[in-house]
Amino acid sequence: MCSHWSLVLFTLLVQSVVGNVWCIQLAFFFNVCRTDSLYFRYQIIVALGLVLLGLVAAMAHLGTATASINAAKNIKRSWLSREIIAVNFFAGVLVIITALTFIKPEFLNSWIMLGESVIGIIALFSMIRVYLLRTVPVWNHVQTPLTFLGSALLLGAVSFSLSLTFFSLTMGIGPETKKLAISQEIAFAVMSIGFTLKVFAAGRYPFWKAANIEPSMQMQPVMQAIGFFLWAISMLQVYRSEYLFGLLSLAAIFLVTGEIIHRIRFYNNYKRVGL
Amino acid sequence: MGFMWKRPAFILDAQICTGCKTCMVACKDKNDLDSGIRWRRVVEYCGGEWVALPGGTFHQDVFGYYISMSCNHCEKPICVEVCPTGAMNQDENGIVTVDQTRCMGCRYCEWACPYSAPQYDPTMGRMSKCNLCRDELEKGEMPSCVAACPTRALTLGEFSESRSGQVLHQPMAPLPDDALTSPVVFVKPHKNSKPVDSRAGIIANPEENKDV
Repeated sequence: MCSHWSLVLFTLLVQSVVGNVWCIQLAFFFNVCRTDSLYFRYQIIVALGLVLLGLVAAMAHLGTATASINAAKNIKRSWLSREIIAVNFFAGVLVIITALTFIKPEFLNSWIMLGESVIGIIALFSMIRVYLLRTVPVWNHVQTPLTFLGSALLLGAVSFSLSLTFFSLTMGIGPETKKLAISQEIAFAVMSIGFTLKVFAAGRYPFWKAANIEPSMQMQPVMQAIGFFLWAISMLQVYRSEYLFGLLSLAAIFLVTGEIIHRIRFYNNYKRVGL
Repeated sequence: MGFMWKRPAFILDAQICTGCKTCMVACKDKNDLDSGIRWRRVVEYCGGEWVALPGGTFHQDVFGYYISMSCNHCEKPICVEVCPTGAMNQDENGIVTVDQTRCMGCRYCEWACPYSAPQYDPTMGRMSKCNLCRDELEKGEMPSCVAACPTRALTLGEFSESRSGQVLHQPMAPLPDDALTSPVVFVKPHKNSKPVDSRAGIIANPEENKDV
């Protein structure tokens, strides 16, 4: 199979931004985030930067990137065409939201983020369907949607929590302490759900249909378990800022590294029926 | 334009195919294909071993046969289904071709096709594939692979006539289940052919069939 680094980056970055948007929406729901706040603007900028990076990575995968303007021409039948449109639409709305935070913040409200959250669901769904190919049994399995959804929640929570903590503790522009703590609890809950889905997906992995199982890839569950444990400890320090960012960063390193390893394994295990 | 087939279909007699690969070379020559790009591939499938019998004797069940396979221009072409740009398309004669002005080289069709028909051309950054030598068919000639076959193991027929029972077709390993894409191809079985999902043998020449 061809080199898949660009797809590893694309899928992880886009899924992390989708999860990040969901976390922001939850923060609005629990009334711990405001659209006119400086930290919201910076969080949106981080999300936009990550999704644009993901799109650049996707273009790097193409043999003739200039022909990608044709990518919407088979939307009737091709899930890849639908995914390209959905992800670009998701990124486009994020561009508009980012611009509004600077130009007309009064136009922003939690309904816009809800709309973007729904577009994120559609983008993630179409991304999952791309890989449910009837001729690739190892991907055409329940572990694919579980893995992708788990990654979105886990990475989204990581980027949401880290960026919020950074803005609060380093730049001093975060929400008040109590709201910051609630935001961190939201992120931890989302990350826990994502981690649980990943564990469940790993337990249902169709190893017998995979191309190969590399021993180094078994590090992924260990690293993510360590990351989960560190994050859980950080929740005990959520009111003590001097430890919070350090613990969260360490947890993030383990979790993100585990995700990268897992995604590489996903592509390495590609095995098609037939010739 | 001369005679044109309604729905042409390759017919392979695996019983007499010797695996000489003349068909593969003829295709590469006619289409000027670069090294590593194989619109037609010859797969050697073999297996078997010594089996101990009661009384201390041994019996061998070694088998081997060749399958020459290109694009099967399927009834349910998964490449056409998945292509995001519509570059993969099927014409009124059932021939699946790639419109290289539209192709962006995402290789999704390569992931999907169970016959390895779409082949990525790294110099062009686009996919390429067998087009059943449509230009030859329109002149009333045979595709170059069919014309070159020295044993006449590889021939061409009308899909409707062949399907009506005149050609015995049996899917066999290592080919995938016909139900996946309904290939428009007929493979007359070898006497030792194994069923589609058999794990009795291996592809003995993977290097000649791997993707670029």
